[in-house]
Amino acid sequence: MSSEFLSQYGGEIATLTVEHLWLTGAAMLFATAIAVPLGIWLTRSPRWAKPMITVANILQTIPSLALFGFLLPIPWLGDRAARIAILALTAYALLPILRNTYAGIRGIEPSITEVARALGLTDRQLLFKVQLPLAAPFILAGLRTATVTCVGIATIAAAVGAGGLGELIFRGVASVDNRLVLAGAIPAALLALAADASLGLIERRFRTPRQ
Amino acid sequence: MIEPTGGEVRVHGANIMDSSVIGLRRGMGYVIQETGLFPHFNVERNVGLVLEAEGCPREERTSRSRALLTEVGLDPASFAKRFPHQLSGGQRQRVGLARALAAEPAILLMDEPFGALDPLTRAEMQDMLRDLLRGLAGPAQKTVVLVTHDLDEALYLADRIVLLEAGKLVANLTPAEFLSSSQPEILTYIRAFHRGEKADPVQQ
Repeated sequence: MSSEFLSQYGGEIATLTVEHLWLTGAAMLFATAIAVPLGIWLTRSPRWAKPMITVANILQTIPSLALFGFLLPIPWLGDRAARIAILALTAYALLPILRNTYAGIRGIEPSITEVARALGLTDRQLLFKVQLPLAAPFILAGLRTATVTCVGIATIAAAVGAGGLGELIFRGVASVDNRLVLAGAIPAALLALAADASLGLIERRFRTPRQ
Repeated sequence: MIEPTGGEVRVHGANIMDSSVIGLRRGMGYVIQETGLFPHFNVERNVGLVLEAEGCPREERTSRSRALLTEVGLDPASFAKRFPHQLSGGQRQRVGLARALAAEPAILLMDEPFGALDPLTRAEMQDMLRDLLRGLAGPAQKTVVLVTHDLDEALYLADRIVLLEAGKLVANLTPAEFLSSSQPEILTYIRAFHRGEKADPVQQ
């Protein structure tokens, strides 16, 4: 890429990267706020686990472009493209977080939970002192998968005018300009890698010592 | 942990269904074969967890945990900061016992506590438990309910041996009475032990 190209588009790439981060970040925040408590609740009412995870699974299978399209005519949502994008990305992020929260807590060795109860820990203490710390690496792994997926899908949000790095890609495709496509794709890929690496580091910190 | 399906369970004369579960659980120590130590806490925190759950201040928890470790034969200086995966089976079981004793329960429930240990370690643990319980005086004395398949363990540790068969109580005797009993279930049980001594060698 020539320096001329960079000086022409550099500012725009930076703005769109920030926009991209904002869309993904907001979606991840919502998805975590929904999926982690829901996953915890499912471990306590396991009969809801299968239907709930199936719903999240179905959301995951809707083609992203179609989902953005479906949401467009909805009154309040359709007013601002970013709202659609964040809602759709939240939907995609739910499954990995929900599944890993549920599996992470269910996967704790039964004798540990049994003793925790026998010692007289309340439900709250059991959750915060035992279950969440032990499930943390799994929950973080789910967050990591979800984040990487969202960074990728967020490029498609540009199709409904929500901005983000996808805008450069779409413009590049429309004008058959590979430089523009790369100007959107490379930062998006770097974002995904950076998110993956940093969440991986946090995940390692939470890994519990085992034999 | 499980509500009775029939009859009633009385602890200190009161039906357990009338008391708070949490209070009841905290009044009892609980030791199991798998130990159930928390892998993400060090030994000291494992032992002090009941106190932590009750909101006991940190310094008191630490000193209490360390005293308990000494009681079960572990040197706090070298063990307090270790994690469960850095301990041997016997050491883990000691930590499990220390943890069960932390809330000073009047009752100690032990479900095959030494079942997974080799015979030498098991003997050591049995001695430790025996000495520890005998060392307690007055109100600190405990009722221990220990579940075991090991007849020797029962004879060595128990004041009373209760034999259960298919969910029914078949005997409730002192060790001496147990050994001299002519009840068929007891004889069968005793015969099932020490078969090695009487067996014919396979090759002459």
